[in-house]
Amino acid sequence: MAKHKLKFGSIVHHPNVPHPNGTPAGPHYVVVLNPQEEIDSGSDLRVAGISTTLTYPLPDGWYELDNTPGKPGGHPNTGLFEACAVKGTWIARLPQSEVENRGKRAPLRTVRKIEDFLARQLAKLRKQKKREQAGS
Amino acid sequence: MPVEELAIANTSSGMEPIDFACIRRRFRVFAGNEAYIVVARVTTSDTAIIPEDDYWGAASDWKVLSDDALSSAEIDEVAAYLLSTGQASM
Repeated sequence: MAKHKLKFGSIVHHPNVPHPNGTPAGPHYVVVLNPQEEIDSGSDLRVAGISTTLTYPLPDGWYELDNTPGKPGGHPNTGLFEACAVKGTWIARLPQSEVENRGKRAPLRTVRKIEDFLARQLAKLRKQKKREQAGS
Repeated sequence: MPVEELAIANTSSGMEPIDFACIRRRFRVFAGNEAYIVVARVTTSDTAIIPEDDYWGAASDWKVLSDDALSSAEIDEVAAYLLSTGQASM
């Protein structure tokens, strides 16, 4: 079987994605967030976890993904087969060699939403640091 | 190409194409001054030849988004920030 190219926005599987606090959280699908250039250079992946544990309305940073329950192989594009969401609040770092890539991908619009969420958080952090520097 | 169903959405109106779950392929076409996205649902036998980049974004759209994406170092910063502010969750 041809090996799929790992891409920005790829949905890949990992046997033991770490929880944000570092403890192992078991097997999960994740969305790759590294810019393509970093992926191509072999960098460790930065990913957002995909989870079936959801609360509604979805919190900021959580975005539903297409899934097809009951179909072998799941949704034709995402490969997902249960109601789930990618969580921008669940960022993990994974070596490329540890993920299984079945050539699936998140929709462009969803990846854009995750990027927007992360960029907003980064802006808040930068603002906070600036305030701290001004106060010291 | 065996097309089962065809729908046209005027991109300038922002109208969503029908039934996203059924979409397999999009084509950009031009008619006069109007630009349209033609959404086609194709038979299962066609899905194997469809490039992944057709998943709701042309390769160029993905490249632009990737070029603008946060770097690993920035994502690490955000992850630490989410953890420190109690926002990190799975």
